[in-house]
Amino acid sequence: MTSSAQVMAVCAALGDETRWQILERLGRGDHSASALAEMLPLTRQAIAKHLAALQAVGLVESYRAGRELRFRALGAQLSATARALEEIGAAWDRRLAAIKTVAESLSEQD
Amino acid sequence: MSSKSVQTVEAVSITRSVEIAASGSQVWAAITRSELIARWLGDQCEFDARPGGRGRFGWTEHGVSFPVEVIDVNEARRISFSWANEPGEDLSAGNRTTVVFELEEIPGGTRLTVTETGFDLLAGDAEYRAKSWASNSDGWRDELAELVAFAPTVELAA
Repeated sequence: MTSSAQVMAVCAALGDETRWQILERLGRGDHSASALAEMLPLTRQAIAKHLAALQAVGLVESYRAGRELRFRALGAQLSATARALEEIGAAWDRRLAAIKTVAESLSEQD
Repeated sequence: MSSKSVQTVEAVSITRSVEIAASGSQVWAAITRSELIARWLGDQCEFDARPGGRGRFGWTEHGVSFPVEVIDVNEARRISFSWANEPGEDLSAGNRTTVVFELEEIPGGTRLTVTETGFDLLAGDAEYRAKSWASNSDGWRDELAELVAFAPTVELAA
């Protein structure tokens, strides 16, 4: 359940076209919110809001570079989400095995 | 993964299947009757196998339960339901995924396939995503490839 909720959170963050664009830019190099605002047709405030959403689910992190606050994309969260999906699949494998046991134990009139 | 581009992108889904040495009606009972569901999912179940039927899957030990609502029923063939990702009462969009069970007669028994969808990671503007994928030649592309592997309709060109 927890892994499912985690997947949903990451998916929700990625499910936005603008956040996807921001992440795509950060995938190619680290940038500050101001730098991103110059690359994309968005205000710095809008960029900051989206960065916060991405940061909340661990898709980006920020760090100081001199006087600038820069953001970098984190591949680890994508990997973690892939693992979470694997876990959800593994949980279904276990449930299907249990369903098999239950169904095979039933008599025809059950 | 050595994927380079994506032509089509849809929602992520998970599919698993199992072959069971039991008739379709026995398998159907195992996945639709509350007291039998409680033997493979949690330990307390209220399930109403009719379209719109509401119920819950409960884990007594953890004191939690997850609401469920049946969407569609095709007796002994197919059933779909939504269930919540977080315990409680909320079954709204964003807190639910959809599970579909399909039964297929095979020699000596029944094949049961389950598909869980609603992880709408990549739903949206497929064309745009495909372009951004192709252009994202480094960074987290490999990690994204791991994730995209869960989207069955994604075609990855070498």
